Amino acid sequence: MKNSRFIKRVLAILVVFGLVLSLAACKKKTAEQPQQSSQNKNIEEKITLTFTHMFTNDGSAISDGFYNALNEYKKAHPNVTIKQEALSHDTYETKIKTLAAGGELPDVFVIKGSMVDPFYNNGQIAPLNDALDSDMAWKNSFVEGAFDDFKRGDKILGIPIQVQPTSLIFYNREIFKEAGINEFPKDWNEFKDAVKKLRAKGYIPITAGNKGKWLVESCILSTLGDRFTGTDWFVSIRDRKGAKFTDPEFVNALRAIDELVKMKAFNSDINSLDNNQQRTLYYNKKAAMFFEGGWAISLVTNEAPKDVLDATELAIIPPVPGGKGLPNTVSGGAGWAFQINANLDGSKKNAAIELLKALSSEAYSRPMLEKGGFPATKVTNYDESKLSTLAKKYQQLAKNIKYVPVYDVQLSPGVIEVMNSGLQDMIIGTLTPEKLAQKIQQEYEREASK
Amino acid sequence: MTLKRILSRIGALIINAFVMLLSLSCIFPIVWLIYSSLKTEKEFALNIAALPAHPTFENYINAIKTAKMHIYFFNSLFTTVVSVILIVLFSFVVGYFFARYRFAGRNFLYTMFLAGMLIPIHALLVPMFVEFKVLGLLDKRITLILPYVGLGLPMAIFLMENFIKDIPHEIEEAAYIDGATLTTTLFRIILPICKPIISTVVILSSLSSWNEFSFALVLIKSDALKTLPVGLTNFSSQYTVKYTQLMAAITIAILPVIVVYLIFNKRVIQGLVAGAVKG
Repeated sequence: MKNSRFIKRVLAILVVFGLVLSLAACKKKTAEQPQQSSQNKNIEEKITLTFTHMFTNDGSAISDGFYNALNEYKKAHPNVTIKQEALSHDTYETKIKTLAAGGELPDVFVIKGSMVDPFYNNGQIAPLNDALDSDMAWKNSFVEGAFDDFKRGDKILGIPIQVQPTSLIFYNREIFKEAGINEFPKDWNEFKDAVKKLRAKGYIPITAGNKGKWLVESCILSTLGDRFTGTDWFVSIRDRKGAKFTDPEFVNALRAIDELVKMKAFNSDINSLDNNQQRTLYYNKKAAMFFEGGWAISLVTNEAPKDVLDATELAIIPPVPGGKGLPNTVSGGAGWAFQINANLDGSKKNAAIELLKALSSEAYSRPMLEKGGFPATKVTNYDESKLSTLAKKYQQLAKNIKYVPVYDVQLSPGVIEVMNSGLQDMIIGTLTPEKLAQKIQQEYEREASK
Repeated sequence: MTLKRILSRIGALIINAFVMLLSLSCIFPIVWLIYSSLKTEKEFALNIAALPAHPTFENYINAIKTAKMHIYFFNSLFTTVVSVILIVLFSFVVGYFFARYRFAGRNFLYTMFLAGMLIPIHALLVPMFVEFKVLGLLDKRITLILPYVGLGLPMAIFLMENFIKDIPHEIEEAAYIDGATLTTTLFRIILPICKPIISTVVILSSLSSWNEFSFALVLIKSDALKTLPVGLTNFSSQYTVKYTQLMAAITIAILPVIVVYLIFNKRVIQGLVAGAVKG
C-alpha cells in the first residue's frame, strides 16, 4: 500500500518534471501537450478532502462568493473530491468543538478568533506562515489588518473569510431634516443635540435591540470606546501591559452611553428586542437611526420600504471632544477564518492549501463585494453597477475608514460576558458606569491571577 | 329560582370565556406561524403581526427546493418511527418482567434503568461521539436510532412497570388455565390492556425523537441523513434569520407531531376513562 503510493508519487514527480522540461525546451510542441496533461491526470493522486463550514446556500453575499470559488476549485482540480458539510452559524460552533474534543476535525474548516488558542495549544491547527510566505502575491492580496484576529505573535493561524465593520450608523435623512438637522453631526456634542431635537419631534432617536447582549458592545461601545481611549489603550489591555478598564477614558465612554440612555435616546424596550427587531421601528419611520455592522447593508436594501431606503444614509460615530482616538476609525475585523487540520501532509496538504487560496481569490471576493459583502482581499476590478445604492454609499465611506478591534473578538469570553451583561444592567439603571468599569476590571484581574 | 339559574349561567359563561381565551393564547402562535409562512420577508420585517397582504407559497417551494426539507422530513420520520416501535416493544416486555417477576438483581437492574433519566444529554455528547467513532457507527442510518432508543427507554419502562403492576394477576391466571403460553398472555392479553399507557409512551417518545437536536447534529455528517431539527437551523445565518422561510419549514415540521398527538390523545383519554370505570 505504502509502496505503491510512493511509486505513484515518484512517477508523478517524474511526469511533472518531464512536462516542464519539454515545455521549456520547445514551445511549438503544442500537439503533445493535451496528451501529456491527460497522462498527468491519470497519475495524479485521487484526493478526498472533508470540509465542514457554515455557508448554507442562502443567496447571501458571502455564500454566493463561497460557492462560486468552490466550483472554480473543483473545475481546476478534478482529482480532488470535496466532501462538504454545511451548518448554520450557531450549530457549527457546537459541532466543531465536539469534533475537536473527539480528535476528529475535518481536513478544512472555519474557526473563530476565540477557538484559535485552544486548537493551537492542542496541536490541531498549525501556523500558515510558510504557505503564505511561499506565495507572496497571495499574502499581499489581503486588506490591511485582515489577519489581526488570527495573529499570535508572528504566527498567522487562519485565512480570514471577510473583514467588515461592526459599527455603522444608518440614519434617515428626511427625518433628520424634519427635526432641523441638515447634515450628520460633526462631533459628539452636535450628535447629542441632534438626539434632543429628534426626541422633541417625537421620534425615537436611536432604535436598538440588545437582547443578545452583544449589540451595544459590538456596534456602539467598541467604536465609541476607541474615540475616547485611542487604540493604544486597547492594545495595552489586550496584551496586559498596564491599562485598566477603570481608566478615566474608558469610564467616559461608558458614561457617554449612560448619558444617551438618560436622554431617552433609545427605545424603552432595548433589552427585549434583538438586532433584527430593532430595524422594524426604523422601517416604520418611528426611529431616526440605528447602529449596526456592515451586514445590515444588504438587509436594509432587501427589507426596507422604498422611501425609507432612499432616505437612508450611512455615517460613523463622530469624534468626541478631548478623545484620544482617531476620528475615522471603526471597529471591525475578520471574526472567522479558514484553517486546515494540522495532521495533513503531502499532496493532501497541498490540495487543502490550494483550496484556501481559491477561497481568498477574486472568484471568491468579487461576487461577494458586488452583492454588498466585505471580502478580506482587495478586489481590483468589479462591476460597480451591480452594487446596491447603499453599498455604493458604503464604498464611499470605506475609503477613509480604518479598522480598530471589536472588543468581543479580541478579549476573553469571561471579560466580555461581564461587560455585555453589565451594559444591559447599566441601560436599565441598576449599575453606574463607574461600578460597571470596576466589575469589568475585577474579572480582568481575576483571570490574570489564574 | 330563575335568578339563581341566570347567575349560574353567567358564571359558567365567564369561566368558559376565560378558558377559551386561555386556549386561544395556545393556538394563536400556531395560527400566526402558518399565516406568517405565507408572507414575504419584507412584509414580515415591516409588521410582525399583520396578515399577509398577498399570500404566497414561495417559502414552501424554497424550503423544499433549496433547503431540501423533504429529505430531512423523511429521515426524521424514519428515525422516529423505528425508535418508537423499538421503545414500545422493549419497554413493554422489560416493564412486564419487572412488574411480575422477582429475580436476583432485579432491583439493581431497575435502578440502573431509572438512573438513565438522571443523566443530562449534553454530558453525553462528547463521550458518545468518541464511542461511536471507535465503533465505526458514525453517519449511518441506524446511528440516531441507538441513542434515541437508549434515552427513551428509562421513562417508558418506568411508566409500563407502574401500569402493569396494577393489572390484576387473576387475568393472567385465567389465561394460563385456558392454556395460553407466556407469549400469548403477553401479547394477546396484557398488550391490549396496556393501550393507554402505550399511547402515552408513543406520544412522549415520538415527541422527543422528533425534536432531538444535539445527537443529530454531532453524530450525523452527510446531508442525506440529517433530520429536521438540524435542517431548520439552516435558515439562520450569522447575523440574520430568514423568518418567513423558517416558518414555512417549521409548519412542515410540526404537522406530523400534531397528527400523532390528535390520534393518540383521544386514546389516552379513552383509556383513562375505561380504567376508571373498571376500578
